[in-house]
Amino acid sequence: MSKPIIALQIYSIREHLKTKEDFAASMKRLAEIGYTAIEIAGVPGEISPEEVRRICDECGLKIISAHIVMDAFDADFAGTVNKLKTWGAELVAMPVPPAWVRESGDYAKYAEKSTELGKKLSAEGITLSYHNHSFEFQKYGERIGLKTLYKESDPAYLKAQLDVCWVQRGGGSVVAYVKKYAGRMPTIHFKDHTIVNNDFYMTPVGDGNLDWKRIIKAAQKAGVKYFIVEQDDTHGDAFGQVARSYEFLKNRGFK
Amino acid sequence: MDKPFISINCYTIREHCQNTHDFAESMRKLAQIGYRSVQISGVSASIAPLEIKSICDANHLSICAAHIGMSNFQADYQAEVAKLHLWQCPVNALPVAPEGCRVNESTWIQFAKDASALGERLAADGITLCYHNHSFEFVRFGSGAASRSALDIIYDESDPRYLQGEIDTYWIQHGGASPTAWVKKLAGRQPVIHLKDMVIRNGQQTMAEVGEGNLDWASIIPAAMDGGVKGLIVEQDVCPGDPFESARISYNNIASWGFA
Repeated sequence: MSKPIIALQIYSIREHLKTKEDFAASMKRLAEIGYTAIEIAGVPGEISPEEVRRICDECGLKIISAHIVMDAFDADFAGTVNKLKTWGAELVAMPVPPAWVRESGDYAKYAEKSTELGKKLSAEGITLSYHNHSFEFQKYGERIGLKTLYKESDPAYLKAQLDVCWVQRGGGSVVAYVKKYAGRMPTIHFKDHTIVNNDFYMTPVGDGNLDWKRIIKAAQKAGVKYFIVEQDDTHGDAFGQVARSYEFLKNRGFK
Repeated sequence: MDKPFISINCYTIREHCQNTHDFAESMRKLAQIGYRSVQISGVSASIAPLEIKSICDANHLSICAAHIGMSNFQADYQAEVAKLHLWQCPVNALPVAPEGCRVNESTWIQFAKDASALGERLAADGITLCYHNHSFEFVRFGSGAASRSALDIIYDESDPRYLQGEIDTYWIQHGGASPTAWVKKLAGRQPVIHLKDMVIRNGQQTMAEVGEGNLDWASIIPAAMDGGVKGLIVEQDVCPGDPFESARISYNNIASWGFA
């Protein structure tokens, strides 16, 4: 099995993606840091999907995945798929569920709809995943939302994009969750945190308290293809922080 | 391997431990649930140590641990030790690191050394000193391979014979670390452990009865037993309703797993 590849969810550097110039400059900086793969959350509206692709190609950055909500597919399935294909992304993850899921707690219904969407996307050569936060660790009936979602959906059509920091915040054992969804997880979000002044403080991967030795081992065994670094809060030093994450994983033998 | 015993920290039911009458009623209720051991904490100082002992004895509750702080030992070491001996209590866990110890890496190291020194004195008096964590100890110092948390410092910079662990599973999780990994790290160095669960309720992290939340008990408890933990001490600082109901749920869940 080939080693997982390091990628960056560019949401981490979103304040540097506001204009076309910034976007191009930022992609260049990511390549200089060593990144060869990215996951897109948002891009400046003024750049077409073709231009995004061109800029990334020029920097040697492969767009391996994107974060797109279910509602966007419901509104325009063909257009959204076309955008993904233009980017060259074969993976897509829903970053949050539609509002009705949180309001109703009906993760079983969301599982059904996700399976349907995943099946449609699979026919287009695209694999669908769900990306968790910690609110899905609330119990609705017998089970927490996240477990219901994965239990009631078809593993062939809905994969897991576990966000390890949010699993931790939800009270879950990261290693146990990675093992539980082994074989169902093409990508994983690597995010870390420490405590500063008695408060949650997000850090680059490796600078916080998560159990990386065991998490990385479990993720490799689970068949994850991309270790996607994400850092929602970079404390005013986005490139510095995402570079630290890259270095940490590079020092552990990944590229 | 001997099975561990299930205990409960009285802090869980502290509102019902503020006078002799209530304390007696509380101990009766805990015994009725099935507990055979308690940790004394949150019990009013107006109840004499001898009364606490006789009430516990009357309810067949051993006192497995106490939560006497460093400043109390500094004020009157002999009185505190006498109390622990009266209670036939073999373990005392420092409930928290004083604020002055939390300033920087040096103050943490000093705290570890001071706690170790206190622990050495207590060991000579037949008592094991432990440290009970929250999550503020998960602040980190240094970088790269040399990076360590204040909780690492506490255990690295003290003598394992004289300062042992009483980790709190909820606070370890809250700090970003793995409770199972910490239990393994402290193997052979942890006589008792605080079992506390975590749920998400209204989008927030909240404490829960053991077994009702998301912590990985199937890994944590066997690892604890492998590491020589003798006492599983239930704790729940915040209960949704009647704390005795929460105490009952925790006890029944742990008992149902067959570990104790």
